[in-house]
Amino acid sequence: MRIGHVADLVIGLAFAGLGTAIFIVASGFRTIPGMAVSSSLFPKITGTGMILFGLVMALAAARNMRRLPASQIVRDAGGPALPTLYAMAVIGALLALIFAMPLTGFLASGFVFSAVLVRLGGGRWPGAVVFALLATVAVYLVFTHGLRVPLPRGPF
Amino acid sequence: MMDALALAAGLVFNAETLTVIVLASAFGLFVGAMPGLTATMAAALLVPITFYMDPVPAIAAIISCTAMAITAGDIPGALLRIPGTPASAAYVEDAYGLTRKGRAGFAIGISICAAAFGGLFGFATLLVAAPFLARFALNFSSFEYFWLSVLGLSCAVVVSHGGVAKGMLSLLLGLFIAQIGLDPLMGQPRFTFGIAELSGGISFIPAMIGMFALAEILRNGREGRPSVPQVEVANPFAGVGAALSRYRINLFRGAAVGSVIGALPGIGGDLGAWITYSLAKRTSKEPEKFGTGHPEGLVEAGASNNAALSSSWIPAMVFGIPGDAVTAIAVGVLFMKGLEPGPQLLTSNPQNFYAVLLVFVLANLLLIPFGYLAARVARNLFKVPRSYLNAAILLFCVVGSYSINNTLFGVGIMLGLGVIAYILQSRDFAIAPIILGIVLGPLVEQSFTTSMTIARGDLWGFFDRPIAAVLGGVTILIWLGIAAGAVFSARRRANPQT
Repeated sequence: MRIGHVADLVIGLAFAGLGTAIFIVASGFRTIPGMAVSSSLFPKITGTGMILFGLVMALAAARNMRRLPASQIVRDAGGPALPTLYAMAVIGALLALIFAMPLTGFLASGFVFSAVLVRLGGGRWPGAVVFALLATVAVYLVFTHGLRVPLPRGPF
Repeated sequence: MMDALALAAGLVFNAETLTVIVLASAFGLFVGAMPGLTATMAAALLVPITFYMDPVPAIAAIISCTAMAITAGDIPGALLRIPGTPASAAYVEDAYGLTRKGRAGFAIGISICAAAFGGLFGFATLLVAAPFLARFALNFSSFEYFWLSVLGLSCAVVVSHGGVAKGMLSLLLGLFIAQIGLDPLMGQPRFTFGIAELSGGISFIPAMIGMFALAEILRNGREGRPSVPQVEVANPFAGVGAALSRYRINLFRGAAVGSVIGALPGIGGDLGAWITYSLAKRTSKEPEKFGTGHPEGLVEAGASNNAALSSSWIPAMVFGIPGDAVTAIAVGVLFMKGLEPGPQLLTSNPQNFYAVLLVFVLANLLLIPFGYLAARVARNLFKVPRSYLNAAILLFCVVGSYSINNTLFGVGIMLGLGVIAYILQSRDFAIAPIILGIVLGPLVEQSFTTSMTIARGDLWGFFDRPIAAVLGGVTILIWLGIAAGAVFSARRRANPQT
């Protein structure tokens, strides 16, 4: 349970921090003299709520951590407390695609992206290459010709 | 009304809309039948395509896709004990129990037929209740809309899994995302930090795709092919008529209860299946058979499931307040298409409302042949390797997010919010309140600021009008109930022996 509670503590504090930032930024919004409300009112309410519930969550997590002996450090059933290798690799591939697509165009970057994803999922290279080629060309044709979306063409 | 119906028929019974309904149904069927892929993901992936459609085909695509995906979600539940939706988790033990007895076809057949009946019952409820409620809602001012939307959001928090604090934080995150961009009061940029793309706000389409499709893949990504205990699924409709006739009270009660629960703003359909399954068990003459492959609960909860799906469109269309993530997506599409949901949709453009109803009828009737097909080919669907499926979905996520503004900024939003949803889901945060917050945020803020201006900052003004006072009172009671529950459970934890 303990790993999960540390994650809850961190997430609770992160929300409280985000709420504080929202409140501070919203305090700088312009106001109209004489008006009962301003642009900052709703963001301030949202920020305050985040601080309050973030702290409630963090305190509950801290209390649960104190109650559990150190020997009970197990993963809990709610889900993985840390991102899996697969998840991190997919996020990395998406980031690389975002930076590569304007330079190489959709066809080249989409092909490499799809092939890498199939491999990451446990597929073999020959199948991954054939699939990536077909999927990228099919998506390109559907979106550029069918839906008139100007996907980046790159240098080609 | 007859003129509106004739116009509506013209909007639905044309080649474009009918083709869209069939294709979206097939897509929903495929996604719903795949273990681990959800109806919400199907709807989120469809939204970029609906961007290029006329309003009625766009909504028809969402309705038929989700109706089919939710019903098809019962197939992996019956064959693999992997429920396709939170609602089908209510009766998955009975469905899987029937499969273990070699009656997988019967389990799927009951789900399909009960769902079709429930969906048509929900349609009838929508047909009767929505115009009446719309006339009633025409008198609503910003005060009533404020309380109604807060009531819907509060219910969404209460029914979300993971606890109230996490549900509330999800909702607040959604409300914050909705505040990014130009503010509705003075038009000044908020939380844009000089980034031009943020001035228009966070588009809800990349947000949906990220939080439902990308997060789902990150969560379940590399799971291998599942093994099916029963190899051949026989005619799914054999013996179903007799079972539905035997459990007809359950069928009608499930549809009726599901319709009522689905119509409550912020509740959505999932709760209906759980309540009706428990109701069926408590009133059954054979409660000991529940969970072992008994069809009674399957009939009642299956009917409730689709009835709630149909009636959840009542608050979505009449008040613009979605009940769950799927209707939140649909309300977003309605806004995107210029069909602003609300009482005016039913009074000024009734043909659009009746067109949506006709789509419901068609989608529920299509459940029978498509469900039959899905039951027969389900085993082959499970053979599609997850690695290829994920790659195709992710490629589609990228292009779908890109196509909204033809910039990679949308892809970045999809990635960022997908990662946030993945992290939050891993700690049992509900994602539906985030989506409801994004969709309802502008309405809540606008009705709040307008009401505050009218009341000149006096909060008692929010209770001056009778309906607003009732809605406000109910909302406050819900929050007092939550606070009392939290204090009670904290005391019980402190003194476990009491």
